[in-house]
Amino acid sequence: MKLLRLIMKNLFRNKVRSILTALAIFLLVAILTLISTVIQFLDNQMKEQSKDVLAVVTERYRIPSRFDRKYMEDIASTGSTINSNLSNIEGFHGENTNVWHFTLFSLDPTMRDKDTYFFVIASWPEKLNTMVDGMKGFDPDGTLCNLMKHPPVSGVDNIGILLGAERLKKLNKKVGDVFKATSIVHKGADGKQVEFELEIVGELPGGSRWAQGGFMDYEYLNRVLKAVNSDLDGKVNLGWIMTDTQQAAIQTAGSIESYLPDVKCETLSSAVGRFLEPFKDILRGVKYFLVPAIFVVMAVIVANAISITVRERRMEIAVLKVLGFGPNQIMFLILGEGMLLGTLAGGLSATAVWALMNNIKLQILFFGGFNVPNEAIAWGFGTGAVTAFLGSILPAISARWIKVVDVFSKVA
Amino acid sequence: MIPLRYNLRNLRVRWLTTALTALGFMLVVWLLVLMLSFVRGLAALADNSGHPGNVIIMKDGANDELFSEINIDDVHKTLFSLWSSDGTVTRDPDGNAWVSMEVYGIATQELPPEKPGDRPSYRFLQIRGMEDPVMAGKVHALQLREGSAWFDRSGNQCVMGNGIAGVLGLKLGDTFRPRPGLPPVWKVVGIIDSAGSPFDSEIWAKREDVGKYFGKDNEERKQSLYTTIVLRMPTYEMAAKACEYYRDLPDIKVNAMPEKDYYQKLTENTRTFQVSAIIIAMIMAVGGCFGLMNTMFAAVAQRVKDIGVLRIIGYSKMQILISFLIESLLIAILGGFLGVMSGLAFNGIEQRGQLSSSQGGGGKTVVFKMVVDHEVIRMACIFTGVMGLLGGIIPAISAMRIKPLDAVR
Repeated sequence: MKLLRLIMKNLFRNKVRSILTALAIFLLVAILTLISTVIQFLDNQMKEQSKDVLAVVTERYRIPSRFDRKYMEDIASTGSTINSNLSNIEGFHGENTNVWHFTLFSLDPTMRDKDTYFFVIASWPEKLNTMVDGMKGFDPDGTLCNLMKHPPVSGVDNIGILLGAERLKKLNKKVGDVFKATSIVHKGADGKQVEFELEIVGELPGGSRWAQGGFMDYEYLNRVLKAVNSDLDGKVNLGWIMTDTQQAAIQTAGSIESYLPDVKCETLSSAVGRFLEPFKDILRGVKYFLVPAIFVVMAVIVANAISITVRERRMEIAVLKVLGFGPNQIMFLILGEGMLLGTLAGGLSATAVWALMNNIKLQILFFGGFNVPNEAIAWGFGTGAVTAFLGSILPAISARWIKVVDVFSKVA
Repeated sequence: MIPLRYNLRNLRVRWLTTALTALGFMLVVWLLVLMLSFVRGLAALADNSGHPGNVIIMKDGANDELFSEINIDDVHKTLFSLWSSDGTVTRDPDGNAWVSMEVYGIATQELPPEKPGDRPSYRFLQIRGMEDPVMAGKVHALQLREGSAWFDRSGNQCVMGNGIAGVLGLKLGDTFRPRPGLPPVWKVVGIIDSAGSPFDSEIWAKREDVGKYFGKDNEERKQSLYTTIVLRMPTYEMAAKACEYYRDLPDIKVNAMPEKDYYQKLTENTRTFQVSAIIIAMIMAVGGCFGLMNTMFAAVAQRVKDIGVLRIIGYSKMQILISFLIESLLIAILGGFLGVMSGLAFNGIEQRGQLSSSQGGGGKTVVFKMVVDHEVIRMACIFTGVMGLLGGIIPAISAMRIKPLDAVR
């Protein structure tokens, strides 16, 4: 306790030095926290889930993927050869499948005004709440699903869409608006772009990965494409399967690929990993080069500040020794000053980053808004403490070895 | 007169503090050079991508070749006659317009499992089908490496960028299947000298084969498609003017833009990395500044008496201020010099990145080199100077304000 009081006193004695050192640690820990949590976030996207594992079915050899919906129907329908085979896999459920069909709409019938474009995924509304990454628990009681199927304003079945908050603002639209939109992706047999009537029935949260896009009922898209005899009628871009376990997902993927040579199936995390492949060099450089270098810079700054302190206080340390302080107590005193400063500055810094970033909701690549996890605060305290320890240990050891005789002989 | 020798002697006497501060500074400048060389590499990629005179034509509404589909019949009906009569398009001596008609796609290549029992993994291959590879080479200003030839119309040959050849471990004369067990089987007859360009990761083959095997033909309607048409105009200005003309064609709706602008837009998506790198560098620089300030405040505190004596023997307040500023600058310059020198090692290091439109999915994998050029060195020197001055100014002011009699008392 006495030592702690002395440490505090010493820190307050040279406020400018303490503040400058703390500020340097504060800034560097802020950068470290940000970089580390971004890397952690991306790593988590590539990490395999242990339950409710999503697997994605795509056309085998091309991007953008596009394949017959029939494949997904076969996978889901009881009685089909592939379904019978998949049903033997523990953790596979035929009903846990979904399809995505990408659509780009324009509010401008001539499609010249790119500011009126918006991207919508046609999917089964009842699957949004359980089988869409980032939407889990969004519509727990199925209200929005029901509204997509039976929109209240127009009264036309299945024309309800959900649009992201940011896209709604950009398009100057709101929930309840009914309007016509031209699909840039779809043409009818007559070669003309297909027009859709849509009613906005809900808003997707801002800051989420869906803030700029939307969802529509696949049933409606299918109905319109059939009516105009579009060549994309019956096609989907992606199929989704949710299995209970990782093992089930792997077995399901293997089985699908052996039965359906036109498609490939892989877990969502491995698909994400492949999309992140071109960024791996950069991420690796940040992880194994930048982060350690920032640690070293911090340690050097602390070492500099503490070694100046030790040199300035040689006389004081000698007096403490005369008063009965042992070498280890002297060492802990110096070490304690550095570590207290580092721990507090690091912790405060991580807390500030946590509070700031969780309000901004920064978006990374095609993932949604990213959060700084609560654990980052603990890591901030830890980072500050460890670097301060590394920076202070040598000056603290040198303080331990200060000889009373040497100091006083020079004074004399 | 500034007491320069006094400053130098002080730096030498307090060698440990000087060395530690300079080391901190060196690390900060070193990381700064790393970040800036990364940013410069990306900027150089944008500058080197696309020919200023090229016009890129895609489907209306498409901002990325990957999402573009133009019916070949429509092109032949409308655009072909335009090029024949347009005197502004660059032409061969024998009158052929410099136009390249292409189909671009990304294919997924299945890789064998690493261990028996594992699932296969996949990688993306960027494949471009060309009507006329020789013309494409001219339009894109690309040349083949020695011993190479452009592919013929047989459908069993391809050429590829130097980067992807390295990734796939292929050399001239080798054959490979982009889809295991399935056609096509391509023999590598040419390696494109494509370093630093977006074509470095591309495989070029006969247009019909790419359309047929990689899903770029509309099978339902039995139509073949182009994704991209690139034509060469003599200048950027003429290219920009031609784009306006093509965008307003009544018979075919297309999106036309200068190729330079197209790649500039794609590289805009790398701006997040560039901005992040600059922000990190700035914050680290401020951190380094605080470290220097610490040293200089300590220097002032330890030399109060010296300052008093200097004032008494006639040095002015301004001379004291400049003296301490010079001392802080000297430490910064020492650290900065070492930082720049060690940062030169980053020059030419290859990095992979991706250019993609905001339409999402796929994108072009590109290899770019980190660049430590005079611009990066100039920026690092400016940073060093500014950090040195900022780190020294407040301690120097505090030194300047020391009252001589109080100091020596």
